[in-house]
Amino acid sequence: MIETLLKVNHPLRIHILESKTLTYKFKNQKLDIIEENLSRVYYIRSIKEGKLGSAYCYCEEDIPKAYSCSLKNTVPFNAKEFPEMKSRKSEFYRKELKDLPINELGEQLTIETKDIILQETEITYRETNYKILDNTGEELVSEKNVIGVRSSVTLPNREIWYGNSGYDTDFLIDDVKGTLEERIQNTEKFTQFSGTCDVLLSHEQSSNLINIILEGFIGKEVEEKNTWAWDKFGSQLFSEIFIKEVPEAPLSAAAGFDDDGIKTYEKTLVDKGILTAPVYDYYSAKKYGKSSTGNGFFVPENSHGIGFTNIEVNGKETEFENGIIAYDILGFHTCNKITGDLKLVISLGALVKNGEVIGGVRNLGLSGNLVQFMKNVRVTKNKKTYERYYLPELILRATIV
Amino acid sequence: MDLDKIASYLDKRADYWDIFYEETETFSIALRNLKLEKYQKHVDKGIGIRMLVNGVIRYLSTETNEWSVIKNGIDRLINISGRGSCKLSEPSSIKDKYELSAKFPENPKEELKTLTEQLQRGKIKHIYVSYQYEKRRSVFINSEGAEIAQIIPRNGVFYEITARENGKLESLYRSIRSLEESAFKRLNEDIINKDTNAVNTLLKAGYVRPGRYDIIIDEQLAGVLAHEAYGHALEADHIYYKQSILWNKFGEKLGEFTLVDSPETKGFGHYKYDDEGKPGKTRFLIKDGILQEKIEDIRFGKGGSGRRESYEYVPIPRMSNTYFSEGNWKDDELFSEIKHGYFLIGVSGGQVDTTGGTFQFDCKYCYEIKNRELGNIYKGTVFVGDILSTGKNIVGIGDKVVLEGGICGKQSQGVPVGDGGPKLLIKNAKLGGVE
Repeated sequence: MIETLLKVNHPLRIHILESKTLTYKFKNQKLDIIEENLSRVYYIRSIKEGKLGSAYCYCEEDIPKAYSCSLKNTVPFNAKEFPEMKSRKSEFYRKELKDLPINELGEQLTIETKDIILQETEITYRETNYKILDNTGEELVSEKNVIGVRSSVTLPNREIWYGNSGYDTDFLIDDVKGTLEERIQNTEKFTQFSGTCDVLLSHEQSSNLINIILEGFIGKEVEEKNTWAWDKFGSQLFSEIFIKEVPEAPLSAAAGFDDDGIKTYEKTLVDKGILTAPVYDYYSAKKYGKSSTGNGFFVPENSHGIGFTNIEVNGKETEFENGIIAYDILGFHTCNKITGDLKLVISLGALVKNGEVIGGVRNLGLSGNLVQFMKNVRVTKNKKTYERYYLPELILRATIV
Repeated sequence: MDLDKIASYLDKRADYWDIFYEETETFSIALRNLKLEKYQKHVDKGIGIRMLVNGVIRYLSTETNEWSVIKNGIDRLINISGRGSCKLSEPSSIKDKYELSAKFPENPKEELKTLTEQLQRGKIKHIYVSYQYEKRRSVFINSEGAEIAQIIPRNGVFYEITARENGKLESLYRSIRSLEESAFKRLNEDIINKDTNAVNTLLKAGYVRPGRYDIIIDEQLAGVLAHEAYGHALEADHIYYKQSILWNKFGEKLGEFTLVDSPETKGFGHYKYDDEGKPGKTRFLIKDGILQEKIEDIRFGKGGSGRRESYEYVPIPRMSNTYFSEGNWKDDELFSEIKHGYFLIGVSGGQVDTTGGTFQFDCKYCYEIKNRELGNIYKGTVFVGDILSTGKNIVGIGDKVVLEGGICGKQSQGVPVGDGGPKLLIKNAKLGGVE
């Protein structure tokens, strides 16, 4: 079926994404749910008569139907061909599931603390094989396995959770367990705070903030002047911070090529506080007369899109002696990505005075604009692998209520 | 997909099983500044098989219809050793069909063009509009003999407008969702006027100073309060594991309001049967301030609220249409109570920590209330609340309930819900902001 379709006389690509996800869920170290998802999706992309078409299906016999659909699901497109792929293969951390002692991993994560009501642990193993076939005969293959570990501890007055993903099981277990234990200890007794202070964002909250910064680099939004960053490239906007995309670093979003089949490459997005340049996929680059930066990422519902692989962050290091550590923050998902306005609530954190934790804090509001926050941002020396990030904790100056 | 073949294979192997087959037809179209940005029509289909073996739930989901793949998946999951204590109580044995018919727009592209033209006002330079409909057909069968087929259509229109002046940007978005009728019909001139005026005026607006104020929240925000603060805290899984600050508060008085969750109401979260084949029923979660009921699936109660995003997920207790019942305060009576405070308008989003009892929701913008009258407009702010004290601080309840559609993302599973209520007057509310 695939071979027949690849003979059509206009540019056509078939993307085959095969994945197997196995999740073990434990409640108080007792196995509760096992979930397995088996998925194989065929995405068809075609170029015909100045239009880019796309459609998808789940089994090989539906491919002809999906192809006809792709000729109707179209948007205007000013290129006559797909970008060159140059056949190759990329592979990241292939460990067989049978080698992973899942039940033992659940046990290793046991948190021992008084008054514990429930510990929930979730271990996910995801294996993906991604292939792009082109009717010029080119072929790309990417194989990747990622492990996710997540655990939450419910205590009488609070729930503390943390999760991380990557390739190194031992690191993930130690990281999740260590982080939970530290947070349980630091929030044993709650105290009150309001006023202006330094706020140290935990690694996961720092990554959430960086994620919002990255939205400002999406090429098509920059071209349409529909992002806070549209007129800020080339100027010093932030303090001395560096943000780099590192596609082949051993982090969970590693990718040798993007969804357009273009080779990914390392690039500096923020250089000593200066925004360098926006990023493009092949299709938006063509539309705005630019070159692709290897940032093509699409989801089934869209014919094309822009995204990032792994991210590394560096900055001016400083000691954190006084202020609030924000472990959990509510509201990052509701921030205004166009204006950069943030309205957040620290739902769990700790108050630090002269380098000592005084007690836990919660229910603290923190608002402002991303650009204002980043003008004075500093970082700690504590760099860590967190999902697709390798980053330190960010320190902001903010008014807390 | 041969469900009977799968069923007879499971009969001998699982203590309880159910199969959820789903086929969802989706159409979406988007214009950016009048240019076509997206046009997609798809059919997603797949199957979710839940098996209870040795007290452990084993769940297989796949899009494939190849029997060998399904059979191998079932065998593999059943053969994983492990004993648990999971039970499912009173599974459904109902046989029924339910179908809602829809009157969706015939030419959504033209309607989006007209909408774009209506939104082009003042300093608005960027307009993104989109429309989507989906028709979800599901079949549920289980080891107790249940056979439920449901077809539920939903549609929605979305816009995002960005105003720009002297390098400053302001942006607002709106989603209008509807069950049976065209979502365009719910979008009127008044809504468009309010949004376009607001985004233009906000270019010169400042931030609210952080602090405690008396506030009035509009009907949309009342819906988010109902959903985030109370609804999630009353989901039976959170109650069972004491992951809700309300787990031991049944029978206690939380305020002077009534809160309802009703899949029977024809809001965006409507269904006749939940995703476990149990009939949806109206629950008075809080009646006249007294905490009464929780939202149950068959794992943590008697069911009726077991829902899932799709066949890929195990059902969990979820809300449907959740709203505050109306009170008897007229708008001018609500405003006349405030000497200095804010009127919060429109939802940007919300989130809750049910165990600690903290919640937040953002408004799109707000007006200062000075001496009982509306004053200057301000940028959106965040309401930081805790579940127990907020209810007692609701001192005025408006007389008109509005129900809006939304998507709830509990445990990363998006399900359609309705949220609503009348305007609410809340004393001593904590608002985040900028000095």
